[in-house]
Amino acid sequence: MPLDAMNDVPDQALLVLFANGERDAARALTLRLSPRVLAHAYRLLGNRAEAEDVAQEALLRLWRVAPEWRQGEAKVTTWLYRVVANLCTDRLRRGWRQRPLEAAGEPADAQASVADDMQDRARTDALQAALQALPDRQRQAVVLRHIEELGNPEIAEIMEISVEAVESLTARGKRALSDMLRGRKDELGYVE
Amino acid sequence: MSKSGTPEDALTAAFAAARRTAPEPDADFLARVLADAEGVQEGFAKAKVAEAAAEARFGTTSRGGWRGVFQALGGWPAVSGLGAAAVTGLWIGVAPPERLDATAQQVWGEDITLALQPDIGTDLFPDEEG
Repeated sequence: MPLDAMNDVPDQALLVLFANGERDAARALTLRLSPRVLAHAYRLLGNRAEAEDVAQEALLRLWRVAPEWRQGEAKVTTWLYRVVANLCTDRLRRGWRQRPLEAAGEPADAQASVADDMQDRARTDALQAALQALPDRQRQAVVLRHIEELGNPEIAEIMEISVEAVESLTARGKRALSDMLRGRKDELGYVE
Repeated sequence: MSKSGTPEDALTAAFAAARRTAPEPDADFLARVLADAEGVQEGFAKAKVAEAAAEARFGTTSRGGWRGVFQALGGWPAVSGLGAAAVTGLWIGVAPPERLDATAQQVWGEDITLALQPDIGTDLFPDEEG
């Protein structure tokens, strides 16, 4: 199957093709899943190099599990978010901490004006630093809800907790972020 | 530059900025991920070749015989459950706990004894002896 024709194929079906040895399925899954996995790892770790290691490891685990993937159960992305979070937690528990405000790489939107771009970068840097100060579970819940924009039921599935617990984590996380960012209002571009 | 009025607005703006500035995978990273994927696929292909070779040599699949029965039962979790049930049954048969006898009596309403070999010699053919 040509690569272009795979754009509309669901992740789970691509995984079956991958397990059957389809090279184009490997390319399609890599291009489709890598951005999301890398971005999520970066949000949890705040470090590009570490995030790349985690993302590569998470995807390697997906490749290996492909032949045993049970159709109709967890979404591929749900499984990946969980694996990424676990790998990040392992790294943080081993004592690794990010250097503050490390660059995430080139912005995705090259069309943005220079001023808007600088504002976005400042806001993102301030937010990332504040996120790193949150407890791991709060950070994970806030990132999934407000940056990845997932629904609470899917976040509950990823984190293996109740929807109520997700709501509690995100509410506490947002409150803590607001408190931390109040002291950096110039970077964030708001007036009181 | 846009200014927001409240910390809540500012936080919302910061989340939106984070989405716009998400780190993009570069060519090196994608090449590493794809190399992993293709390496794993080669492993699958080799495993299939090895399985086919074993089939050709022994005339059976690797899932045949006792291994097939083992897999059909559900693997280790099912077999270990069956083993535990068998051992428990044997233990109850050899040395029944006292409470089991009491429970049986309560259920049946009387003391029941089951013989493994009933005495059938006299009752089945009463007329032949007379």
